[in-house]
Amino acid sequence: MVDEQDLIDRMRRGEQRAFDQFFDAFASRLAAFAARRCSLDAAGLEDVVQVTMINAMRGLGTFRGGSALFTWLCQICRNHLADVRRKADRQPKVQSLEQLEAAKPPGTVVELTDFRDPLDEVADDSTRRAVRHVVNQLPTSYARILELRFGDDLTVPEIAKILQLSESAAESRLSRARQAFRESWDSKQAAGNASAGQV
Amino acid sequence: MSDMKVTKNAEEGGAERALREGLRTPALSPEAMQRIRAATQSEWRAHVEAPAQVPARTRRLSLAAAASVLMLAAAIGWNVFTTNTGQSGEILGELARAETPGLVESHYLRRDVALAAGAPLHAGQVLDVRGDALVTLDGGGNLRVARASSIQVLAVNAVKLERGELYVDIPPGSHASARFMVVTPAGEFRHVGTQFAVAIVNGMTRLRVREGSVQWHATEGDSTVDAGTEVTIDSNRTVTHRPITTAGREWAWAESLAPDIEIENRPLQEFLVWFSRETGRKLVLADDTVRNQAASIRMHGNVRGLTAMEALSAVMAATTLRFELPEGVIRVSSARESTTPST
Repeated sequence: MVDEQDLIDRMRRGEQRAFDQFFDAFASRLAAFAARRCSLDAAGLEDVVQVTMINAMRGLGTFRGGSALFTWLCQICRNHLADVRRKADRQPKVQSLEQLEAAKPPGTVVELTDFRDPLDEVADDSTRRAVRHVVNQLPTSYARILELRFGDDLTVPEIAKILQLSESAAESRLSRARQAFRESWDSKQAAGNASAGQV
Repeated sequence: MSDMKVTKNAEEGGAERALREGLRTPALSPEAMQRIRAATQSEWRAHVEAPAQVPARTRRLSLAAAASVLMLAAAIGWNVFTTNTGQSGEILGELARAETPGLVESHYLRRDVALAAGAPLHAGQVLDVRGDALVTLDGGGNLRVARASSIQVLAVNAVKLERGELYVDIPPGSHASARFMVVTPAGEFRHVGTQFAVAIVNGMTRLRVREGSVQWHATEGDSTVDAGTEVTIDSNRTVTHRPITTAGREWAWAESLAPDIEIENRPLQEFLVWFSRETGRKLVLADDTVRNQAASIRMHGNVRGLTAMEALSAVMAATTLRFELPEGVIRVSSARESTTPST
């Protein structure tokens, strides 16, 4: 794994190789993170990622290494998404955000600036929407680790590094999160089947 | 990693498959990632090279010495920049609008300057385009530049595309913009009453002609590229032609930067021609009656801030005419007429 503080220090010194490492390591993951939290089209998503990365470059001097670099980027992204939604509230002509608003009352927008940032449930098919709904009902720590494992396809050692846990603790948490999801998912499926069987 | 294989096998139950399906997201296109990289890198460079990032060891200079050096540098700098600045160059046009974070003029040895709407663009300027930008050309027509592009204004009728994409719209009759050209590593593209887009993507130059034709001047010789054609020239100078549509998603970014049209007391036909050009659709007026109506109807109000499609809906709603949008066409007819038989 990259030494993140060293990477940032090299970027501050203007080292091109450090910038390339930074972009290659985080840009795609950031795009996936943002995509799971908004219903924007590809162009809108591109804007969100670009503004987040630009804001990160402007704030390079403020990164102190207290959190993982990706966590810091995610926080910048959350704040920008919250701005985007606030603007959408003032400009209800944007269709995709209208749909989003219909699914979530405006009050939930505030949550995005907190650590708990739910996945977007306005997904384009029922399975995705249902999965996101179940994940959003789980404790935050479970939702986060499932997202890293199944959304970003990270390995346990990578997850451990990001969450600042030991590998065994990450493995254990992932196992509990999977179990919690499975129970909720299965009971949701069973409830769906039961209601489908009723006439 | 064998333990991961075991875990993965165990995970492949229905719930885990659902998790993978539900949490995966479609990736952004390589072109989108390239644009983000260029914009991010540009911002990073601007910040790491800014004077605020000067290493702390320079503070060893005494304050008095530092002040002297700064005053001397400022005096020399002022002379240099007042004589060498591009501000005295010919004016290409004016920045009409730009999306945040806007357009930045890059300078050698001094801070970059963000341009505000209304700022003139001079020959000699190097511009870092960080948000989609619309430039109205002094000679008529306009230039639309995609974010993450870099352009250099070479002359009153020429720009050099260093990276990114730009769209040139010079309506027929804009004589003062005659011979407008875009310079790229693959040669010069000169308009002939035209709408066209030029992009540099991963070292490859791409020309798309939407209307009229473009003269392409390269070291290998001159050629003409007609509307509905895309030409790509890779780094080995291998040239590929292919037909393209003049309406559709690939033009959407340029359409979103269309200059506002003033409709107050203007004939409907003028608006329809504007819509036709902006969307790359052929305008078809159903018959002479419709043609006469389009010429005689005068519009009132404004469509500022609306997209071309929104503006069309708003304007047509105020008339007795109807429109249809079959592929590549806008067809205007009398409200009584229908293309499908009624029973």
